[in-house]
Amino acid sequence: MKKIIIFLFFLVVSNIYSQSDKDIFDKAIILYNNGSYEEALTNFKVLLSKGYSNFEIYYNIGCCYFKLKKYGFSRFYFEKALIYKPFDKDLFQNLYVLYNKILKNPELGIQEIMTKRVIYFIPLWILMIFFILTFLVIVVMIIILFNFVNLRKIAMILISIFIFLNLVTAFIFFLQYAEFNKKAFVVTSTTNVYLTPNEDNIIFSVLEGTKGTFKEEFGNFVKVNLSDGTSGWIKKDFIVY
Amino acid sequence: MIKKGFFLLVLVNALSLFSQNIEVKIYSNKSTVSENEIFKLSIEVSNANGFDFEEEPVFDPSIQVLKTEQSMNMSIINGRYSSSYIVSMYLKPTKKGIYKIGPLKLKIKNNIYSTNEIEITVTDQKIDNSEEESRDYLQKGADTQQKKSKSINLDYIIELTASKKEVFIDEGVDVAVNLYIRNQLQTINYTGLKLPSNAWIEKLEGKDNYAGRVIKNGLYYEHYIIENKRLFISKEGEYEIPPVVYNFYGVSGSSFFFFTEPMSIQTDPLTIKVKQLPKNMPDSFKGAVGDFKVNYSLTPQRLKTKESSTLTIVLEGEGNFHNIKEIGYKVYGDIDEYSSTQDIKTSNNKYKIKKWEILLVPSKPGKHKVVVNEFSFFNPATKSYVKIPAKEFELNVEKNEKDKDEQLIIHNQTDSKIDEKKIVLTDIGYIKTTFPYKGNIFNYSVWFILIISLYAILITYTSLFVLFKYAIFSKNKNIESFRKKSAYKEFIKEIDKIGKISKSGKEKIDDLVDKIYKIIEKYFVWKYGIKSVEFTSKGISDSLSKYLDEDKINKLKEYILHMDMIRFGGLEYSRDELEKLLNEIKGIIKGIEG
Repeated sequence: MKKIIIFLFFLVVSNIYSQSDKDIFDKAIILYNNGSYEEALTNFKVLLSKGYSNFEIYYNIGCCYFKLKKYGFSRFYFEKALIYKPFDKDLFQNLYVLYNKILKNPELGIQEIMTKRVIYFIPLWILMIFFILTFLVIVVMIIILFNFVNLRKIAMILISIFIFLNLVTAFIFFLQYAEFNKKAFVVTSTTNVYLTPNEDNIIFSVLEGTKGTFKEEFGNFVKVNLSDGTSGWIKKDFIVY
Repeated sequence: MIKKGFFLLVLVNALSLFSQNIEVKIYSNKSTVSENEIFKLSIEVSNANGFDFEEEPVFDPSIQVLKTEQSMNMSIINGRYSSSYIVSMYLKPTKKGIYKIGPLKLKIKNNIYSTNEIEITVTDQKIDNSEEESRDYLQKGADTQQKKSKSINLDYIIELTASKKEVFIDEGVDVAVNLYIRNQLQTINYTGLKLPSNAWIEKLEGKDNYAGRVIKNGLYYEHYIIENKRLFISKEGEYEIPPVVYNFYGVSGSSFFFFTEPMSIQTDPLTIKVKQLPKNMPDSFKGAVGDFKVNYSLTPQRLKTKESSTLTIVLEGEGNFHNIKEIGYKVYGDIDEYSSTQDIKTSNNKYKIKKWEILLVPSKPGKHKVVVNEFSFFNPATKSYVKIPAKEFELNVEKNEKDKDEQLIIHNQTDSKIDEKKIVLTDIGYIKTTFPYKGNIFNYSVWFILIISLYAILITYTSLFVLFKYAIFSKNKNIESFRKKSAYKEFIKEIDKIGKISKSGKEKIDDLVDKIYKIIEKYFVWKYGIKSVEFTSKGISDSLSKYLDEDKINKLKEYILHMDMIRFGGLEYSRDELEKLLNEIKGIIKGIEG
């Protein structure tokens, strides 16, 4: 018990920000307001590397990249931020502006936001608490099932219900996880998509900000499934994922 | 007579064959080849009708064997008969280096012969091989830079051409692979154009790839354009497009005696120099390179509030349309804007049209100003920036009598396809200034590992438990000894459970006594491995006399009788008394256990 309390204490303490981190954040805000977007970006990235993987940091990094006219990176970070707060109005506005700049059909981008809103409707923390609770109930019911003959029927019914709920929770989590981790964005003004992981056969070219799903890596190339259903290999240096 | 003569001839030949020496040769049609260039390796045996390889020839992995063929020559010169048998291999080296081929061992009439060793040099450069009548053609056009090409003979020529040698960033350059032929061919393979990674590529398509009949060096050729692409390179530098290799079966020999054989032709590499744009760019320049025209219109310019007017901006010309996202505009006054961008339309492969339509809906009467921003582009032909000045429109808005209605009135425009209307925003919002919580706990990677681990643990433990309890345990051959050992433990556990149920008052005394019977029977069944115990005086003696002494059997009988009285005799029994009974039974069993 003591150990658990100590562990929880450290967990809480480790999550409380240090003053120096706050200073970095404030400095980044000032730099951004003064138009020093490159320096502001560096500071926000320092916080990201320190484990501040959350809405505000991703959002602000997206803003910095937008101001630097690196729209591919900007889309990457804005869409990461969307995962944490899918209903944030500022973010919606920024993404709309960005989609108007980089997409032939900005409405497709809006559809993308709507899809994300469905997928990320339940925030991660609620999802995880629900997962843990349902999981604990399953464990308890399994213990009851094997030890209390009289409660077997109830235990069986509850196990079935909670396994279903737990699996649904896990499914939503994995959906979110895939969306969070497996997206790739083109970050140069134009790049070619190849049929194979070499420069022999070009299928077509794509513009900055084009989004796809990361599939696999081979040498200097990454296989990406694009949202229009096509797929191909893109040079690693030209995408962020 | 004819038969005799033929027989004699065969005999003479046979004799001459025996009398002549067998000679083995190995040779190649080329001693030096370039990468991917096909050459012919021949193994010739004179004065023999054939041979087998003692060991199949093994070549370096970078040498591919495309085709093998056999032939035989026979001749009678001055009455002297000679013959030779030739095996030819068409080989294609894929890496540069010096390759030794041979000695190869041949089996002829049970004798082993060995060839010499030959050396083939493979270079990564194209070679000038006069033996093959190869020639380089260099043609300098007025507006095109013709590149070096290589031909295998005068019948087949391949060239890699670019419309410009030097271009500016994002200026279009057409790269084409041209094939000129005077004879038939059958394609084996073709290594396509390898274009720079950071170039925007547009495929220029014609009806087919046949470009007509042309005269080159005084000869007529059929001209085919194998590939034709337009590049827009977005970074400064020198870009080399590697040679294109075309392998095919072509016709060789003279017009009288011709044959087909594998051939390989390749172009020279092509270098395109990409220059920076001049630095005197106007403020309105946003990267458009080419030659453009812009047309604007605003119709109607007189309307009522809540009615709509369409601002149309049409950009047309040749250039990097893919980089032009918008031509900005400003609207002064209380006007709602709804935009729609149409796709780029292409005519004549290079000439394009891009159209924007913006629906303007004024909500207040008055004179409103609509300004389409200045558009500027770099024209590579004149090497200068061109400014298309801003265009100002005036929108005269009168008060609408139906102003109270919220319905939007739309003037039906020509081909406007605005279905869903969204307000166009031009800049992003403010950044977030609240210092965030360090979200270590709710991190996807952490939870991913945790969920997988939890499932793995749950599945493993449940499986092991079930496996142990039902599968391994029930099949255990020593189940009887296990039961014997744990009979007392199980008995105590179950009797205690009865005690708890009795205290809770959930079950009747009769039912509990029934269960006590079963527990006692289970104990003896487990303990002594008997099938069952009949709880009558005779039954107890018959079943347990082997294991228990008289005294214990009598005591047991006494309690069984007592319990029978509770069940069937109507003896009233309190829960306290039942607890006492349970303790006494426990005592008897403890006595049996010793």
